[in-house]
Amino acid sequence: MTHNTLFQAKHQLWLKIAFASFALNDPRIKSRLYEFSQIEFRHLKWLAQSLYEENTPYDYERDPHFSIENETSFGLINHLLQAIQTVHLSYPDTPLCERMHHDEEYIVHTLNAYLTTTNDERITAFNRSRIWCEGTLNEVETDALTLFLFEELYKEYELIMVYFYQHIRATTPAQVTHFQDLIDESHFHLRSFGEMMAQLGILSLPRTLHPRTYQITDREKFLKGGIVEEENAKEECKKLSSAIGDEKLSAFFEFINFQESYHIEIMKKLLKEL
Amino acid sequence: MREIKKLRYNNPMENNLNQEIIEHLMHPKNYGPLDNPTGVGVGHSEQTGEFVIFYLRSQNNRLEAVTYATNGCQDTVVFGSMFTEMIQGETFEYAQKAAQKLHQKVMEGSPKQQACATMVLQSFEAAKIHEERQKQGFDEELHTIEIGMDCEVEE
Repeated sequence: MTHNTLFQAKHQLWLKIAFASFALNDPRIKSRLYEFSQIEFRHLKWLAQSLYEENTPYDYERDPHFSIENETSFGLINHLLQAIQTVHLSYPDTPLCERMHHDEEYIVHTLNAYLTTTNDERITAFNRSRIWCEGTLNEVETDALTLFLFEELYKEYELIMVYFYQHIRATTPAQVTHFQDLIDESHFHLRSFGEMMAQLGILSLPRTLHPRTYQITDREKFLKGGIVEEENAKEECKKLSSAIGDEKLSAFFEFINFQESYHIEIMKKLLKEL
Repeated sequence: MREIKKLRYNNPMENNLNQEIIEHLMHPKNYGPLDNPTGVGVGHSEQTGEFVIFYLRSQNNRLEAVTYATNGCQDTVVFGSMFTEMIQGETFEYAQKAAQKLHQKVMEGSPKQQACATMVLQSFEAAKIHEERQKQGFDEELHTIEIGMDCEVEE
C-alpha cells in the first residue's frame, strides 16, 4: 500500500467510525465511537504531517463504493471491524503506525465486546422516513430542515478537510491555533448535523471533495471567500430558525448562527497573519 | 430521435422533496472524476468560487461515461446527478436536446435554481469544447466557462 493509499484508507476509517456513531442509537456506544473517531482524526493529522514533511503527495480521494449503510447495529459494528483489520494489513513498520495499530487494537477489543454484551438493534438512520421524533414538524418545515442538513453536513466536512489541509501547511503558531479552532468547531457542527440526519433517517456520507476544493494556493482569497460563506451560513441558520416553529430546534439554530459569527472573527485573525 | 427520457423524472426544480430527490441527495449518481476522459469542462463562478467539473468519455458519437463533481449547493448536486444519469450512454445529439429541454424547464424555477442548473449545463458545454479542442491538437487539461450567475442569488 502506498502512503497515499494508506492516507485514503485512514480518512475513510475516520469517516466510517464517526458516521457509525451518528447512526447508532445506544448513547453509550455512540459516545465511545465518537471518541474513537476523534482518535482516528488525530492519526490522520499525524499521517498528513509526516507525508507533508517527506514531500509525499496525498489526496482526499475515496473509494467510490465506500458506504456506511447497514440495517443493524451488529452489521455496522462488523463493518467497522473489517475496515480496521484491512487497514492493519497495510501499516508499515514505523513508530506512528505502531501507535495507530495499538489504538485500533483497543477499538477492535471494544467493538467485539459490544457484539457480546449488547443486543443487535435495527438501525433507522438510513430509512428515509424523515420523521422528526423530538417534536412536530409540518411538511414545509421538514423539507427546509432536510435541505439545510444536506447542505451543511457537506459544508462542515468540506471545511474540516480544507482547514486540515491548511493546518498541516501552517507557518506560524497562531495559524496552527486558529486553524485547529476552526477544525474543532466544524467537528461539533458535523456531529450535530449528522445526528439530526440520523434521526430523520437520511444520514449519508458527504460527497468526495474534488482537489480544486482544498488545494488552495491563494490563502487570502480563500479566507475572504470563507468569511462570505460563513455569513451565508449565518443567514441560512437565521432563515431556518424563523421558518421552524419547534422551539428547541429553533434555539439550536440560533446557537449555531452565533457560533458562525465567531468563526468570522477567527478568519479575520488569520487574514492578519498572512 | 427518441423521446427525452428525462421526462420520466420529476422536475428537480420543484420545491417539495420527494423520495427520488432524497435518493439523489443521499447518493448522487455519477459523482467524482472519470478515468481516461476525452473531455473535461468546468463551469465556474468567480464571484463565489463555486464550480462544477464535468467529465465525459465518448466513442463513435456516444457518451460512454459521464461524471461530475461540485462544491456547489444541493440543487446543483441533484441537477448534476439527474442530468448525468439521463445522458449516460446516449448520443451527443440526444444529450444536446435533453440539455435544451432541461434548460427550458428550469427557466420556470427560481433564479437560484436557474443558476445551479446553468452551472451544470455550462460545465457539460465546456467538456464538449475541451474534447473538440483535444481533437484539434490543443494540449489543455480542461476547458473553463466563467458564469456570471451564482447560486447565492437571492430569491
